[in-house]
Amino acid sequence: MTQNSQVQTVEARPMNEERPVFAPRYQLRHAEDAILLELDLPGVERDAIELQIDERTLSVRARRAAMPVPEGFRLSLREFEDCDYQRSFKLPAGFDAEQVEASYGHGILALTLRKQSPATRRIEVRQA
Amino acid sequence: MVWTNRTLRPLWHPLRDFGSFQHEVEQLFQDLQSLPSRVLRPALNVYTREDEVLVRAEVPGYAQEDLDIALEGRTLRLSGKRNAPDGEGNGGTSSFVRNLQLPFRVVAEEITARLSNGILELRLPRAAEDRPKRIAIESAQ
Repeated sequence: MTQNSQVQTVEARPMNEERPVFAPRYQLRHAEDAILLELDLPGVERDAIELQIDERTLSVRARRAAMPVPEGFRLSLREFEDCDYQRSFKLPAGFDAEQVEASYGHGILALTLRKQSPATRRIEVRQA
Repeated sequence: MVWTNRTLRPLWHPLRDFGSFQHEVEQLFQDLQSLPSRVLRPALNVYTREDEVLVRAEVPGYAQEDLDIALEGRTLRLSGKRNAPDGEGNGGTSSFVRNLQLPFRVVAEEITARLSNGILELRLPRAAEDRPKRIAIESAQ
């Protein structure tokens, strides 16, 4: 250790420059004629959820409001962070995209995807 | 000192969590499919100031009546239990218990709790008798 040790400064970059995007936890259950999908989206407002069905892909995105350190307090333990959510699911064939029901409550987005009712199609026989 | 506790249990920090070990081990086995490593749930963020502790917990799926907040000495016990039926309509339950050691005594009756969109926020004001008191120094003459 020298007498004239130089103090070096290092630029510290703030850790959370960008908001992380997490894939939310989910639970998929099969009922007789539907698939029930529940996603954990705590801290999100209902109108901040975007749900899209594209061909056979269901995608969920949600923006979560920031929950900063309250005024006057200091952080002692952090096990979850400010984040947004995004997750996509590949749907098996046979689901009626028109008939997806979605509800949000208690931080959980619940989706019901109904199977298409096997329609009897009349097939015309054309003259060869 | 701030600890981020995504996958590891911190060795020490000012607010130490004494989880109910046996219960958490049981929970771990039940939730095996979703936990690649040991994660304490529900996730908590804790903030402190001189006269109050503020706790936020991610508790998606729990309604007010499913949650229980108890105080024993300087330990806050947060627990919850809810029905989580599986696809075949079979009953099932999901539950958790977490204990949090507080830096000072708080008054149970003054704890406020607010639940919104699966986020529980607790405010725990410091007990009056546990507040630092100024002690006058008398000069001995």
